[in-house]
Amino acid sequence: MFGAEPYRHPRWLAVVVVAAVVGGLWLGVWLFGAIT
Amino acid sequence: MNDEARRPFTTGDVVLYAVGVVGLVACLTLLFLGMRAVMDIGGYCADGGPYEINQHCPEGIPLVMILGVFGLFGFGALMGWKGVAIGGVYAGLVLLAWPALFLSLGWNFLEYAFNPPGDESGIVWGWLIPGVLFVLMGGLPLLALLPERRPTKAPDSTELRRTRSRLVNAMAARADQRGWRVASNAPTRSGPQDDLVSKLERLSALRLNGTLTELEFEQAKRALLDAKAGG
Repeated sequence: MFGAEPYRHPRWLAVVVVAAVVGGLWLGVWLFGAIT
Repeated sequence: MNDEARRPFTTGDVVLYAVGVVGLVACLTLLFLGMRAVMDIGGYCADGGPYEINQHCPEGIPLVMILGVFGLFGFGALMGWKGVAIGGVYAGLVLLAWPALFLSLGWNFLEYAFNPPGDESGIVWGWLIPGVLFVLMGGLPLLALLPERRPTKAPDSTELRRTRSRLVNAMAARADQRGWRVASNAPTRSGPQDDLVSKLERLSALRLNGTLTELEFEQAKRALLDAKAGG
């Protein structure tokens, strides 16, 4: 009636991003150890 | 319509976005650790080329640095591209890579400036200055990127009450001008005593809505009461 409500991104998306950041840190440390 | 049905992105977008985040963070970590490895041997190194090399790089460090730098751009682009598809706060999240890069490398500079490796002691100005510059380059944009915190000012109830009173008074005045009867919830009063009470009530309302000061209210009230006593 007064226009659509703004879309709210699901909470699991934030969880995915945090997990990806943690995973990236782990991958970086592992890669560094593997290469050097 | 529920949010699930309006979802503007696909699962593929999220998967590629997550790959971008993992890769970007991994590359930042590689650069951070690679820089520390180089600083441990004095801050510079070289490999290859037809030169007499004074300080060779630790094993694997050139690959680490190349992977880190190129991966940073590649995964950053992927994260930015899919972030726009997902929308919302995720569209701009890749911008945090800039402060993350400069603050982490600036941290290295500062740490090694105050605790230089090897026999050196004291502050290494050649690392302190870039450290400060890097922290500024990373920190200032970070301050600009953070969500704006507006002061949450509670609506001033006094101000609201005054505005409402002004509106009601203005409407009542217009209604009076046009000869309309102003509806009121208050029971209709009659008689001189009720007239005085209603005048006092109106005076009190004028004081409450700020039209009259405390002094003016007191004077007007006194005048009303005096007139009543005199009449």
